[in-house]
Amino acid sequence: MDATGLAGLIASILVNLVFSWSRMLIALGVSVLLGIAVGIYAATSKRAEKVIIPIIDIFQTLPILSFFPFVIYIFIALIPGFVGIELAVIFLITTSMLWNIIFGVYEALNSIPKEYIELADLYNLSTWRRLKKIFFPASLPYVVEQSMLSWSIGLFYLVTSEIFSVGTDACQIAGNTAGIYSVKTGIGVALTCYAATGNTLGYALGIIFFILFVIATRFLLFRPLENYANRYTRQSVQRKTTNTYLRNAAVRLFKYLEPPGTERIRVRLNRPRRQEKIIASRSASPAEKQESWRLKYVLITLALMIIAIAGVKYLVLYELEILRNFVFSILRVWIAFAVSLAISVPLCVYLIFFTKKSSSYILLFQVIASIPATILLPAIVAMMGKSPYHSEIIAFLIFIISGIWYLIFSIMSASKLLPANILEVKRIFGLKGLAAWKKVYVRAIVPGILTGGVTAIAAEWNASIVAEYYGSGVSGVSLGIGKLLDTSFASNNLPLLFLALVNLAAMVVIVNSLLWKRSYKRMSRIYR
Amino acid sequence: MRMVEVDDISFMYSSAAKVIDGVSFTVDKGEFVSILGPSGCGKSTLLRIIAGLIKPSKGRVLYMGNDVKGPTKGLSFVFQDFALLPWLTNLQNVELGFSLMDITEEEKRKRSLLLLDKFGLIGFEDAYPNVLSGGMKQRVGIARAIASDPDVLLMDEPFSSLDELTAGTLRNDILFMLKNEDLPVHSVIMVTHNVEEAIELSDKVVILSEKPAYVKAVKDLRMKQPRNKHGREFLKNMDSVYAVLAKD
Ligand SMILES: Nc1ncnc2c1ncn2[C@@H]1O[C@H](COP(=O)(O)OP(=O)(O)O)[C@@H](O)[C@H]1O
Ligand SMILES: [Mg+2]
Repeated sequence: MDATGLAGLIASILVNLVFSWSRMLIALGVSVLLGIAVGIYAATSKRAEKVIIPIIDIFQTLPILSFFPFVIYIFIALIPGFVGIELAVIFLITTSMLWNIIFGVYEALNSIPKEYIELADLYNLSTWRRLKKIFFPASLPYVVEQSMLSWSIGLFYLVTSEIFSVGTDACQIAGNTAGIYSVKTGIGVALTCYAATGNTLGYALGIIFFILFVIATRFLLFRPLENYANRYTRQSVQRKTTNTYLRNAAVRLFKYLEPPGTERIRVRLNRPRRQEKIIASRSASPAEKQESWRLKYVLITLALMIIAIAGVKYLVLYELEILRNFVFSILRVWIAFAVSLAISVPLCVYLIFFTKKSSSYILLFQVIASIPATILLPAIVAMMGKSPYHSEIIAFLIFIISGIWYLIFSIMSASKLLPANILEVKRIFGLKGLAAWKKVYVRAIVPGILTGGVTAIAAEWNASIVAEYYGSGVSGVSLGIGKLLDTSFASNNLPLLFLALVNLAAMVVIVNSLLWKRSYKRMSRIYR
Repeated sequence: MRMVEVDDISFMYSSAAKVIDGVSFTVDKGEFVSILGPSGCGKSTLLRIIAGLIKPSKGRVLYMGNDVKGPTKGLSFVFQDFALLPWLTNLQNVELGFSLMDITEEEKRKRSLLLLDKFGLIGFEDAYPNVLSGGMKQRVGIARAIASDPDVLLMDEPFSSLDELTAGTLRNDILFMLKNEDLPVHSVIMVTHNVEEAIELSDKVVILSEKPAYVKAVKDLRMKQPRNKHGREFLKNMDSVYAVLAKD
């Protein structure tokens, strides 16, 4: 390729990146504004809190990506053409970025020292001045921290939704005139097309520039924001400015876990133990918590009722088929999770206990992890060649890549709260071999595994829609819930699509309350 | 009998800053030795070197005439922040102390319960450390240290994070153990920055300088136990220790 060709290629990659980044920035802006507003509202109004928090509880653990076909469907129905699809993509990214920002703000406001509020009462500060002098400064560091997490999650959604919206054969046509359901420019689109047309150089350059953009964003956007936000926090309270890729719930697990019986799923861990509330004095009685649980059940029941009314017919028609597909996806997800555990447990034990260079490894991991699994797909496919289990292996790899980082970062971040002298205790009392693993290493990272586990599984479900979709034309997996969603979307089978989503949501809620909630309850006896 | 000999120990964490500079002293059987010095002078580092947790840059530590090359049976450690493993119950934490012993799990359990009983912690064996008060945590820490049947107990500011009342009781427990031949622990080396505590408990106080720590003075205290903190001799010793500490 000559120089002009190369320059052209790079220019086109840059244009695509700029489009993608614009979507990201818009989504982040919307998420931050909404997050601050809703977060403050939830933290200062008892009634709002009761409605908002349970809803977010559900949304956070749902694989929102699986709603993508549904969302596109609706957006296009409402706003036809290019604008509709753009809005759908931005909407989707926003749904991935928003929840943790709301919680960050909510949590920040709830952990404001009581004295500040008393001081504000004492000086009779107006609502606006309270916002300006107390609430904004207190939540700003959290907003920035959460924004970085949101950015990483958002990248995955961005690329995936771009790829997804391209459609299967859009690239072959010159000028990239994709179908009506697709965005036409974006790094996800570009990479898919390079891969589809065998443009290895374009694909490699695309990934390199993608990584450069990720790193540049970190340093040019988030670093200054961090500095700005943290100028309020006192020097003595040293905030972590590194390793914020996954500022994760585990950090809270040790400090803020609620006493048994009052936990809610994962997000609960994000919340500090109740302090005196910000407005007036309101205490969270058990009854109140019961209330928000009840709301959750009401929502679920409502959803179930809608299905009942709308489609006993469809239920009879499709439920068996859905469950059959489900079995396969559940197997894939959990086997992938088991494999991820088998990799990350020894890896993290090594990083935490056996090496002094763990922060350099983490930095490396952060860069690798910022590459959404979905843009690596073409490379993985190429590497796989034509092995007989081709599509099954690819799906499996995507599951693992999508989930494992959450585990690793969550464990590493929780490890910062470990008691300092663990290794010395182990050495003084001569714990070796199996006993050391059983009593020290593995036990030490359980909280990180639990908090990372929920997110890892959620991420895997999110990935299922891509993993099981990819290569369907050639040899995609034949059964799976992601596959079912794809095919029902492609064939415009809205009832099936909807019913499958409800099933997915129900499954997530059930697993949450059966598995994770119990584990947290146990943990809360230990870390309080 | 000579239990521990610290022989010309020097240490630096990095080539830039020396932390310990040629410290020597000895500990005999039955002796309570305090290492006294200002915060950050290197006391914890020195105690960890004695325990075999850190290798000295220069010099050596002898326990019963043998080089200490790593954690050694016979030397046990009580940590300033207790260092209980939060995910083990209090009983399991004490059982850690028996790890090196060749006895059945059942036996470990029985002996650990006995120790918990001795320290007034029965009823908390199946609870996790998080429900204990600071004083109770440190008693678990001491029980765990004693479980390994040590000759010498190394304690790093064991009472500094406890309230004065609790600390007083625990100090007496330690002294009682030291006096009683049937119990383990025949010598104690305790790091502290509390002058009064050092004089109340010790037969010998090793006074360290600011970082890098060298031995400014070794003070022998020949007062009978229990010591009256308001007695004339006690106060005189306090004054002279303060004088050494203040001197450049
Ligand atoms: N792991 C370490 N790496 C580098 N410097 C250390 C380390 N631990 C302690 N130091 C430094 O060594 C000096 C002595 O520490 P320490 O032994 O803990 O003092 P003390 O127990 O007397 O307060 C201090 O200045 C401390 O900052
Ligand atoms: Mg110290």
